[in-house]
Amino acid sequence: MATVYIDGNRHDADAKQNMLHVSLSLGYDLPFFCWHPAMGSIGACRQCAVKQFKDEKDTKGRLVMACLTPALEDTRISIADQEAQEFRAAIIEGLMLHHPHDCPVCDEGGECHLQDMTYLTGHAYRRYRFQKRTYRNQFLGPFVNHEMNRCIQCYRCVRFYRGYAGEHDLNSFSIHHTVYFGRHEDGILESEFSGNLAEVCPTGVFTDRTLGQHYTRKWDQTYAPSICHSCGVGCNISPGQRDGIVRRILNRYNHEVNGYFICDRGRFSYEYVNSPERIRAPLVRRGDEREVIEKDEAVKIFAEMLGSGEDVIGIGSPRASLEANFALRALVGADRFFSGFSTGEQRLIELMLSIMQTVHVPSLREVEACDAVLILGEDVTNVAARMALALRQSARREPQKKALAARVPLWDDLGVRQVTGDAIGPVFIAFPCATRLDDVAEATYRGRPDQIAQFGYAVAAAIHSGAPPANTDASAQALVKRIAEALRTAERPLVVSGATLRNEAIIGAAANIVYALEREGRSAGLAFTMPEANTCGLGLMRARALEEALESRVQYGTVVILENDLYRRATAAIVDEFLARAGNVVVLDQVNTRTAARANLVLPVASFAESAGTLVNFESRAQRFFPVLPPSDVQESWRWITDVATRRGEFGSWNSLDDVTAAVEQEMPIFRGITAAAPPSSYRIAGEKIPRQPHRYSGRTATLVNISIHEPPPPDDPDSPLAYSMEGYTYKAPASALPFLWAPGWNSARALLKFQEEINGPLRGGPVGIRLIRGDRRGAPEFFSGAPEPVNAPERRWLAVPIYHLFGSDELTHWAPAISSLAPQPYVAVNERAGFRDGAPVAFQSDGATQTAVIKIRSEIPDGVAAVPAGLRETETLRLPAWISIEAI
Amino acid sequence: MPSQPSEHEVRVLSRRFGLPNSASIDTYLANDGYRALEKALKEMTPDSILEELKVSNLRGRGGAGFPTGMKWSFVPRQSPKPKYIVCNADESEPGTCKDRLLMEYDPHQLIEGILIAGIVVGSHQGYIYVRGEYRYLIDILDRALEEAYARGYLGKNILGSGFDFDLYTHTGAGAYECGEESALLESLEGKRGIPRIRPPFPAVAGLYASPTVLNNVETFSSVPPIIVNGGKWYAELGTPRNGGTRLFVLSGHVKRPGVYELPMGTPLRKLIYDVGGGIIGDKKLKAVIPGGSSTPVLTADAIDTPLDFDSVAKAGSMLGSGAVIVMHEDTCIVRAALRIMQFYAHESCGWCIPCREGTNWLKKTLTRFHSGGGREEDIGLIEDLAKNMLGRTFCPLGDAAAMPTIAFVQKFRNEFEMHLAGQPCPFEKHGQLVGA
Amino acid sequence: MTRATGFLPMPSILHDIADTALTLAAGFKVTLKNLFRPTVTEDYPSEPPRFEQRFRGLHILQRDESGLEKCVACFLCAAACPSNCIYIEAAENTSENRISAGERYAAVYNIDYNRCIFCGYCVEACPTDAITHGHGFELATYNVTELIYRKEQLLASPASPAQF
Repeated sequence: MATVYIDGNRHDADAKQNMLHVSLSLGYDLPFFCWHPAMGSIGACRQCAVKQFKDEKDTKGRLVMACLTPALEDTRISIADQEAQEFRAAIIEGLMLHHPHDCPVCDEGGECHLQDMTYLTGHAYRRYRFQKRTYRNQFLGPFVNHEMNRCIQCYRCVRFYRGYAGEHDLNSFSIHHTVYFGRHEDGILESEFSGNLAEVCPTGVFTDRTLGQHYTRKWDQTYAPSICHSCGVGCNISPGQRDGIVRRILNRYNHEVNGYFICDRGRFSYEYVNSPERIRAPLVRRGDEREVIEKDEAVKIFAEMLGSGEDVIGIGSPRASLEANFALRALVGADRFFSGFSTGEQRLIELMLSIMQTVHVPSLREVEACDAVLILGEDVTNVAARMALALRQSARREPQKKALAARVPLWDDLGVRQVTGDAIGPVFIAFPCATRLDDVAEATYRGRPDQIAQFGYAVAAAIHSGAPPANTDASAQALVKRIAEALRTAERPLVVSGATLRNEAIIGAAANIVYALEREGRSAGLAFTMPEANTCGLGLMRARALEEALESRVQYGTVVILENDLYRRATAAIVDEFLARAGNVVVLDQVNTRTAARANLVLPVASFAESAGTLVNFESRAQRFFPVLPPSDVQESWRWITDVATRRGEFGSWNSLDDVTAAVEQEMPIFRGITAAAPPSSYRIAGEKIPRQPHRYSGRTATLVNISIHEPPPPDDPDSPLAYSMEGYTYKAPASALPFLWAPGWNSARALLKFQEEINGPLRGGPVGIRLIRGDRRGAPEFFSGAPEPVNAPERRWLAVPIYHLFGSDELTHWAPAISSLAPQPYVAVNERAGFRDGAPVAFQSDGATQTAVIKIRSEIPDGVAAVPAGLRETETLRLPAWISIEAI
Repeated sequence: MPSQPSEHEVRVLSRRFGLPNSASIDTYLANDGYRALEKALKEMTPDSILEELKVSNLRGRGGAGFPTGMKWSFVPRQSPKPKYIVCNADESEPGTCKDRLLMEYDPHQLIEGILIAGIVVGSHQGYIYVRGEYRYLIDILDRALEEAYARGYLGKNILGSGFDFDLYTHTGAGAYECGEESALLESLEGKRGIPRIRPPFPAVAGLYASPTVLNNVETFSSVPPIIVNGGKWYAELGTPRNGGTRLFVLSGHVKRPGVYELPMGTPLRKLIYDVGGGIIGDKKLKAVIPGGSSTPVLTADAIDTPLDFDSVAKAGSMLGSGAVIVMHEDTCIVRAALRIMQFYAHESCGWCIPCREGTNWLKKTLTRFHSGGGREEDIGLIEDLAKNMLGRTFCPLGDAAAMPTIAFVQKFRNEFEMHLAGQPCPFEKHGQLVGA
Repeated sequence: MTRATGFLPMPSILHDIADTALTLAAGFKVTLKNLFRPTVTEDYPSEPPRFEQRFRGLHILQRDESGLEKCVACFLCAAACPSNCIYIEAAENTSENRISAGERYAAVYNIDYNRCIFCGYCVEACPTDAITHGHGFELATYNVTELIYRKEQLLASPASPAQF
């Protein structure tokens, strides 16, 4: 702590910070461009100039950049100083020389940091009497639009793209007043975080291309606090809609989870909500035809199909909310509720969840602070992209210690990078193929899943002699020792693993490494990736495994399938047989999946944008999401189930989400506390619900005039404390129910700093999410034993392992055009020693079914392994890993 | 060819310039070559060399004039990382062309100076970063390096002392900004030539985040004579706090422009009238830029200023790189300001806003001003824009552009006013004036 | 009754006639004066009405010299509207289908004249001078839904670039 003086006011400040950070944290309005809270200071824009005084007698002072001035004891600055104000206005004047002033046609207009800063400095009069410079724009792919003329050269884009996200195909070119930010040639941006450029850019150079296709101003959108449904990280998002069309997704800051950034799958996933493939009305199969029916009739038919309930089973879904799964479980009974995980997956998830009880599972904020990482058998970028971005920051922790030793503060981004150079910390990756994090890995290990498990056991044994030993090949011995040493000597070691390779031993090995570190007195973290939005929540329900139902040979009367395409969970032959066996198939889903096409009754289910519920993320954080689209016949699964149960006279007291959430909490002790994840629907600020619309929302009386000139009352929302209205207050809203950010004078995404307790700290207004597993059973858990025997590959056979693709493997984003355009075509990746030509068409056999694909040669893949992309659209699901034969065709 | 020697010169660095084949190692060896290296390796310790340098009062010849001995002593003796010696041969300041001669006519003197720096700080690797436009010098330097390797002055176990040193040449792409030491290091690492932040200083975290000694060609070239003849001898050549001689580059409206080695503290009058033979056409002196285009202009009143770092600073300017540009009475000062600003607008690296936008705006304003399109308020604008760069930019390039501009406006405001009211430049009838 | 002095005493009948004439003249003073002034009464609806230049009537969406719509769908008019009666949907121009000179054009542009207060803020806000006040004012209708004016009704005809 240090005492600093700003404009004569005395403040306590964090001495490890700079004066810009301190001033903004204290609520002063000081303009800035190149500084970013997650990326520190570089002193390029000179916008945050303030007058600094040596002591209280100094009246002359000198201009300094607040972002480069450490908040040391007795630092005295003046923001209001005349000379400083004039200089700051002169900087804006400089930026405005070439800025096109095309705000009316710019997508950033109305939420532009440059607009805000221009107003803040008071610059208005133009003295420049020459022509503006112009640039050529580039095509950067389906996500990001490029309009270089608006650029003010703050260097934030390249700092995020290269320095923070670690990708290289965006750079700054040329010198003097023609500096250019773009790719070396037109082309799709390679980073999976490119969408963040739209929020990082202080003006409209990089904008959301998908928003541009159905453009609406920030003030005209209706927002809701939501949780991303695209993977198990649980990033907080803020979708915006108008006229029933979701227009875009913005990052919603949660300092424990996603912070300032989300991945492109999360940001652009919303497009499927608007897809014509969505199921909008109930469908009933009559003969070969499917007929659209009324909602009430659908409920009636559903009730009839349930009959006495004796031979009814329910299949849950890891992409549906806790409430939806719980409602189905309540409808069919706990013993007839099956999870809906893929074959073999449930066992792994339950294993991971039981291990999580015995270790510390870090949040992403803690992941970023780890200084030694072992990623064991997981391709984090493609399964949990946001976690990969956090791990990229972990790789900088160890080198940063050198900077601190050289007395360079961590906010001094240039200084830190000068001291650290390109050095990376101890990050190690063991995976069969190259991953997108390999560039920050000190070393990588390639092997078959069983070899990776052996490798993990060996690391554990090298850390602590009590851990069961393993036979790993001699060539890996040195690496095992190096990793063990790095983890043992680190301040905050971390192990990351997951279920991608479907290998129980890998998960046991990851646990053993952490247990070994704990026995050595080290405090280690263990993070498991979770592939789907609610994998963790559904796993905690301890439902029966889907395989039991699929392979039971029992004649079920009615099968109720909740938001799940069974054809993605098991092989087609098994699912075909299962569905043919069932008397009635009721599918509740959002899009017309292959399973839905086989159903007798299909009920249209609300997407994340239309529904409320609770999800549990990879660290067991329960977080609530709320609808952004007003209610319609497309309703939440739990509401359909409640409707049918009410009709049948069962659990009739559920009227809103709060009732269902309370029932989950009451029925299943593991979910204790989830009601507190967000305020209840009865929450009010000064008697008002929290508005979903900004106070500038326009056209309110004219929006629906083509239907009726009578302005309808705003739709009722019984499930949330939010209103579909402009009336009410957001400024004091609880963090978990904050639909959008807007503060006086701060119209851009940077309004966030007015909602944070301090820069980079938590939001004002309470916790965001509730941790369910707290690692209570830590202590001295038993080591997992039995490193698996190495497998010898049969002649001309390959072990097919599933490889996830951020763009392509996720089910719902198949219907999001921008994302699906980047999905790969089916392929089989092997090394060149397999004797195939790159691009050669082949057929491969698995589970008796033959599939076709093309060969992709990836030389890093070990002998005897074939990597097969998982979950691509219109490809058959394989039971992986499996030994396959590959034939040229 | 080097300029005709003048009897006023004290030739220390340039004493081999006129010799036949002066760039060859044989000529060098025949004229005291590598004697300093031998002495440094066999008779001296790093500490005693440093002591000699401190006694010599040698100050960096790149422009800032920082004492060289002190700079070298900042490099930590113990370092887990390799240490580097980098020679800044990115001589790009308009008016300056002295390093070019040092490399063209006496490359071995430079190599020897770098080697001695290596001995002092315990470095085994060095780079000569040569300006892109000096591409032809690369051949000369590479030949010299080859010769030095062949004779055992570079490479492993130099002169049997056990000291190893490797030296490489590297060309820039012709950016003035890369003459700024930290931008030079970025460029040398293969990155964009933009300046770094300080601290950390290159002595702690320089090239590849390792301790680095970075000096100008002339500074390194001054080291061998100091080692051979002693620091005291060198110091006495100059004035008390400004040791030795330096190469002055005399250009502009003088009868005998050229590069002259003179003791520090030589009066400006002597340089122009005695060494340079007076002003072309015996016209009246109007203005002198004393240290390269980035230094504030001096009026004719300052003719008796001694040319050393402190005296020039007292006169309101800087000695800089020692490039003296003389302007006679027919020179259009607006045109001179414009020519200088054209250079800085082109060479601004684009990192910070005041310099990036300010230089370009100034260039455009001065262009129009000079051609008669100026307005009364433009004079204030020019001064205002320059002041917003002075001391407020990320690196000294902003200062370099601002200082001469402010001085031109303040000292020659009447000439700016003469351009107003839509009149063409009053000096234009005299044809081509300053610069080109 | 007071009598004007300076008149010669006359027989009462003459006196009465003069008195009446004087009274009439005084009474018709304004009428008579205006009899010789130019006429200001308009014969609306028999004749078209005349307007001051800055009369704020029904809006017109203007076109530019080349006939393209000036509106670039920036939403500023809708944001400025105090009665929230302007509703816009934007769509992107393509090289095949170019409607406006900007990146986007207004695919839907509705003004609800039930609510419009003719304040002119929309016109003030418009950065491209696309929306202007015309001189139309005959809004009366038997059906309030007809007071929702669509873009087709608001748009200037392609033939004449600027209308008022």
